[in-house]
Amino acid sequence: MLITTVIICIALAIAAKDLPGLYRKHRFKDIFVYIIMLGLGTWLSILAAKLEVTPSPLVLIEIIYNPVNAFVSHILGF
Amino acid sequence: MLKKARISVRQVTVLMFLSLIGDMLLIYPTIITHIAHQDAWISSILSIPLGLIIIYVLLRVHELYPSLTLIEAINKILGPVFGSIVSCWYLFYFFMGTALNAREVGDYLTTQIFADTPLRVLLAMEVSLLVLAALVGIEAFSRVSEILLPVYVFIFCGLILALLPQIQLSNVRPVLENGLAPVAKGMVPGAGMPFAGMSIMLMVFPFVNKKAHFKKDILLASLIGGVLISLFLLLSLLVIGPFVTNYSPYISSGLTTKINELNYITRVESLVSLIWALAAYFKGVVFFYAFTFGITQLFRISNVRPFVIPAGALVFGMTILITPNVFYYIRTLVYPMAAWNYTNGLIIPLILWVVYLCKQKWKHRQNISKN
Repeated sequence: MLITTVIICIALAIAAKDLPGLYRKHRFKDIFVYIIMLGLGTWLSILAAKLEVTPSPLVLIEIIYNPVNAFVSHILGF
Repeated sequence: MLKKARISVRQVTVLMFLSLIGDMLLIYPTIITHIAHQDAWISSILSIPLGLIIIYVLLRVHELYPSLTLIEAINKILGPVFGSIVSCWYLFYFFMGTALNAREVGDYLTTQIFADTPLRVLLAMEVSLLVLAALVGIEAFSRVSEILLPVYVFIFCGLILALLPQIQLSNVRPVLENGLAPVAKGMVPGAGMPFAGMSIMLMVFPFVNKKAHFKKDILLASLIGGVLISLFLLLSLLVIGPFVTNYSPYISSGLTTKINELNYITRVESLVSLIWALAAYFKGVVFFYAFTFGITQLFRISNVRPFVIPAGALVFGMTILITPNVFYYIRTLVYPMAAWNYTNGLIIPLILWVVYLCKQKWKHRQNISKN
């Protein structure tokens, strides 16, 4: 619980440092991208800091490429 | 709008050399030796020409639009819709590459040197270094790589010279015991892991002050890098033997513990592990820079600086989640990762090239029919 609070506080501090500058220049697209990235980053960091077991995103790569590799090695006869 | 950063040809050559070697010295011998056993050195040497062809294709693709980075060139060649899809694919690749690279170094340090430090702390330190390097910009870190290159070469040569007396040629015999098939299989990750992963350098090349010897220097740097990787693999086979190289995840550390000169120079692991961490750090920096820079170019944002720290938070989270253990990326993920690298480093650039040529020809024909 403590580590979650700490990470959220750090994220809020980072946002408080950068967001006013972007807001003053009226860059709303930048603010949108920034908030999405920081939110996702905070969520992933909390998951990482609590050592939760989650499926790796590289499973996607395995799903895409394993049939391709099997097909190619079947053709080449290895 | 920031002033556009500029780096010299020599700096980009050093950067290419370091990021080609990168994390390969940590995991490459284990991966190739698992496939080709004692003939791993043959497949490693044979994969160098293949790798040079890949680098040449990348350089030619870069020459289509010499002042645009990869993401901008993709958007220009493929149009906004397909361009955005392919750019997102590349950004995912850069993101995963950064996280995997940092994780490899973190795993190495936490198993071999800082055994009592938690992995998260080491990874947080590494990611904060990446963020720092991306904040100071590409000019600064390419200069740092130029400064650190002599240290790197010095320690590497010292390692090789110190291990030469312990070579046993019987370790690599019998040569070609199982025929050429395992050698050919070993060439797939052998060229795919170090060379085809160099599509990141297309994000750095537009900042180079081009000279006539640019292409030659890049090819030479990748040749030397490939030869060094092969030399290291050959050394670990000759000194430690194929069996231990196959089953130990960190053969580089095992190799360093073998150093014993006159019973005086011993236990130099922490000095030598500096160079694995150094090269992998520069690869991570280039990946991370490509990731943050690619995001801002995809959304057409002019200022990169505010987005570096959120990208660092993303990367830190992903380093832990990306892989459950070491053997996931040195056994399970080898062929999918190599195929992924080939897709990004060879197939998509070739498609870009072909689409560009077709577009030029079509435009030419349209001009003729107009006249």
